[in-house]
Amino acid sequence: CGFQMRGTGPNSGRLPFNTIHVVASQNSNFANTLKRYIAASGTEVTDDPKAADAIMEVLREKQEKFILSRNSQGRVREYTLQYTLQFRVKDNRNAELLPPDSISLRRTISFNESAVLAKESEEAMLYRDMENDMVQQVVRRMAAIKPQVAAVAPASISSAK
Amino acid sequence: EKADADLPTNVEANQMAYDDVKQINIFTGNVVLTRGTLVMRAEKMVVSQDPAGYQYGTMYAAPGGFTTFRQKRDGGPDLWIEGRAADRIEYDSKTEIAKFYSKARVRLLDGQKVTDEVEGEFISYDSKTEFYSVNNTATGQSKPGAGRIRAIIQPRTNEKQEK
Amino acid sequence: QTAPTAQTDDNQAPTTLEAEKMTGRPEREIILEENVEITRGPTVLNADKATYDIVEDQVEAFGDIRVRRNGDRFTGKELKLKIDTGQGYVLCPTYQLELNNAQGEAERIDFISREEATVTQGTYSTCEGPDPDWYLRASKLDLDQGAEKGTAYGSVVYFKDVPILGMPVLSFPLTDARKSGVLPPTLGTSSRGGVEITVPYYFNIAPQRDLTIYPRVISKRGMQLGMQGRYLGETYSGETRVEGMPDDQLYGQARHAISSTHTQTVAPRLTYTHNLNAASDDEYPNDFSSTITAASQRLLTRDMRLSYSESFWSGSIRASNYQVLQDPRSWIRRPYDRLPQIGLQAGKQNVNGFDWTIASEFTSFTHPDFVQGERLVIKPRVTYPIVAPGYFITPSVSVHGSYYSLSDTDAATNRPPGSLSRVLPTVSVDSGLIFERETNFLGQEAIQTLEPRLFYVYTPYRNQTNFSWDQSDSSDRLFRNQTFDTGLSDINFAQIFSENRFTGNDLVSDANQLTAALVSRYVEPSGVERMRFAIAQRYYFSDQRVVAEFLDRASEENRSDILLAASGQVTETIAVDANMRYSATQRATTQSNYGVRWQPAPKRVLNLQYRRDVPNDLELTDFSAQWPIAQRWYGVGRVNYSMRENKVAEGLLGLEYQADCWIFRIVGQRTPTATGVTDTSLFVQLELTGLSKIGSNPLRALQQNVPGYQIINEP
Repeated sequence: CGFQMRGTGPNSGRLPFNTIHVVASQNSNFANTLKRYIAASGTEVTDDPKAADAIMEVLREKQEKFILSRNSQGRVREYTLQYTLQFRVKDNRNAELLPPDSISLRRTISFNESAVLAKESEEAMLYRDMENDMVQQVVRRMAAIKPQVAAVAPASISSAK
Repeated sequence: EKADADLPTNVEANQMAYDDVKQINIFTGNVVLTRGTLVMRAEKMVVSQDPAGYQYGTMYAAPGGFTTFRQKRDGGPDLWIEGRAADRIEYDSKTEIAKFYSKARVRLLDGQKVTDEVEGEFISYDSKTEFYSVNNTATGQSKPGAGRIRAIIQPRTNEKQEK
Repeated sequence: QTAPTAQTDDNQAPTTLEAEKMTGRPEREIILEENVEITRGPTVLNADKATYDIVEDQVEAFGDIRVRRNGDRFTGKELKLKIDTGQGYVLCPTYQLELNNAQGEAERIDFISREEATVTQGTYSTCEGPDPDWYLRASKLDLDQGAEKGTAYGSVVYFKDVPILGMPVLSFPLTDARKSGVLPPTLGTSSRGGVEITVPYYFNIAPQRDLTIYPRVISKRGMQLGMQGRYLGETYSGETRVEGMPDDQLYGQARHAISSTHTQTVAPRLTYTHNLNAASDDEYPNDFSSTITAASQRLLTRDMRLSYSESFWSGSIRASNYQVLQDPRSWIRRPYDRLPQIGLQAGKQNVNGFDWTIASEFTSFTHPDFVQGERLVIKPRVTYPIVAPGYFITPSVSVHGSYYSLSDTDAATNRPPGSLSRVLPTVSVDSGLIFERETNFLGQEAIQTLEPRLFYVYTPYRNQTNFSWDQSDSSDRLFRNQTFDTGLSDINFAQIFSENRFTGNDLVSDANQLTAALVSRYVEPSGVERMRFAIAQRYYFSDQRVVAEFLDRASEENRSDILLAASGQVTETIAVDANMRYSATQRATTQSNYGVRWQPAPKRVLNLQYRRDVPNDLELTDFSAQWPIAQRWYGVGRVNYSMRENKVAEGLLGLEYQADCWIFRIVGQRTPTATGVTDTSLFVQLELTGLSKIGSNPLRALQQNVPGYQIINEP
């Protein structure tokens, strides 16, 4: 039925640049997971923006919590956890490869005051799950960037190394 | 300039005629009247004199042309006043009032630079009190809706620096 | 507002004077009569009669005066104006400013400079036309277009000629830039407090700092003062809200609430954060539902944390506890305090193919009634990830070691021993394939993926009844299986791929289980995930004995519920989000929710959601919408109808009218705040454009209750 393993078909799933630099706050869990995933998929993550073909910038990362439902005593029974990321991708000549875009993911979590500490770690687990999902989504969007001139330049840079 | 008042007046023209009955002189053909720094030009000039010796001159412009008047002003090394009229200029040396009729324009100059300028159908200028008035009809009276007089005052840059 | 450079040309520009009659003395003054027009640069003046003093560069004008200066326009009966400095006055003027086309009339306007004017006994309004819907009448009104700020003294605001607000001093922004000023007053009633009026005032202290004050009068209770400070610095940011009521007549004593969040990078790599909340009494959320402590927050976190992170390790020390606002009719168990909790994580990737991490945590749990103690948990883990674009296999071996030293054990009935320890290994293998094909989704080119995934976990069984205990506290409510910080997590796609059925570190579920899942996504060429379908189920090859002990009932199921989910943007305007847990053994859904959102255009959204949760005994439908009803009228609504109790659990209805220079909002809300206690409140708000630009709390209720709601006076 036309399915092929990714990587064998046209869409190699690899990023269209050899080196990338990720700009994010020091303790951003998302950024560390993203760097690990990109490194595993064959693109080198460098700390020096000048040596990178592309610069992925995390503009805003926000974790929010909204009340989803309450029982008749007014007690919250469910929260919606929302994780929103705003990012953009530029090449090393500051030309925009991906204009600023924001993705938000949502998960539902039940709540009971008597197990608030357990719910705290469950909340952390759900946010981590959304971060991993976000990494997939961001990588898919970066993989879809049409390789322009940027693809040519790195060849010279890497050979020069 | 005040000093002009007691200087002799001389007039040049193509022809000059004297009418005994009305005791008036008529000059015709690019008439030029000079008295000290005052210079007046016209196509035709009629001058009459009253028994006390005061002169009354009327300068007529050539059709389509202007009769002009230029005089130095007190209060500055190179200050001038220029006036012109499309119909005629009447000058009364007793009252020292000059009247400009039709498309009249009076300019104050600082050297070559025009500092102030007034245009209108009728301008009367009293050089003794340096007072002038401008009206929008050649009759010397202002009629509502008969068009507007325009004056342009350049900014007083030099005075600004002194202040 | 012309740029400053034009200002100086203004003085250099020539003055042109026109009139039907003119007299004067050269270089001193000119008297103009009939149809006078004087122009200098951007300033044009028309009048019946005027004299222009050349030396002073000053104009005096009389009769039917009209002045246009840049975009501003003035009329009046008598005027004196020094053109170069812009100083002077005009009598019985009307004015219209270019800045948010404010207009008004007055007895007199004094021009202090080119940009400042003082209006005496005048009015100010941003409405068009001679008869403005609202205007402000003030004995003195300073309009400073340079600082873009207006200040009114002894002012009264009239709306449709009805005085609605009197203020000795009232300052307001002349543009929509953030400026100190009064915020739209809110009038409302609530069943818990009676009529209340709030007139917030906003101080824009600095670009990165502002303070909002909420003086509020509540008829049945008295005066309340609320303050909210926000600040953002180079290395820190935060927000603090304080609310106090010196004497609450209904309650009989002072009441207050505070909520403060703060984050600061104290030193490179070292950050401090706190999230401190407190309230004066248990009834606070019932009585002040629309304030800091949202109606339902019965547990107020107080959490302070210092964390340090290096490239491959990070540590944190934290103190955290909760204030419980007890609701006698449905008792809340007070959670443990963690004073302190020290965490240490370290990890290295790709050490010749292996990734290792160690997560460790020492916590001292204290509690007035329950068993107390310290717990040390050490969780080393080694994985060997094999990742390729088309497949991945991630074997992982980890150990969960925990050591307890418990005190006050006599408080618990089945007294656990003084010290406990447990070391349990876990082996897991996560693997998956990723297939793709080019196809189209509802007529649009897309890539469809097919992602089968298998996740096997093995953890040996260890009797852990000692790691939870039965607890009865002072009011002898018997709590079974009390632990420090552990509970069973919901079954969902995140949990079904985790190794431990429990969240928290007190219990480790035994496992010999295999989770199988299939995910299919439709991805647009731009990489945006359009739709996602997923199905997953877990097979237990041996009984889950720790879970059975925790739940005190044997669970013989050898298969978990089937999880199904479908979500995404079906069309440009319709988004769907549905998931369901289907129990194969009972052939019934145990949990399900289906949601659809239709958002055809800005300020038009419809959300419909049906949620059913059999174990938690919850079944409700939730409908919310923002829709334009008629010309300039917008409706906002939300109804949360609980089928179980077949009554409206929560409702909100709002109407908004947008005129050209004001917005009227009326919001009715019905929220349960405690057992058998619901607060029905009605809020009316009038936002006068130009007088106050920033919204206030009824908006927050709208934004929180109607997902996708957009503020109507913002583009």
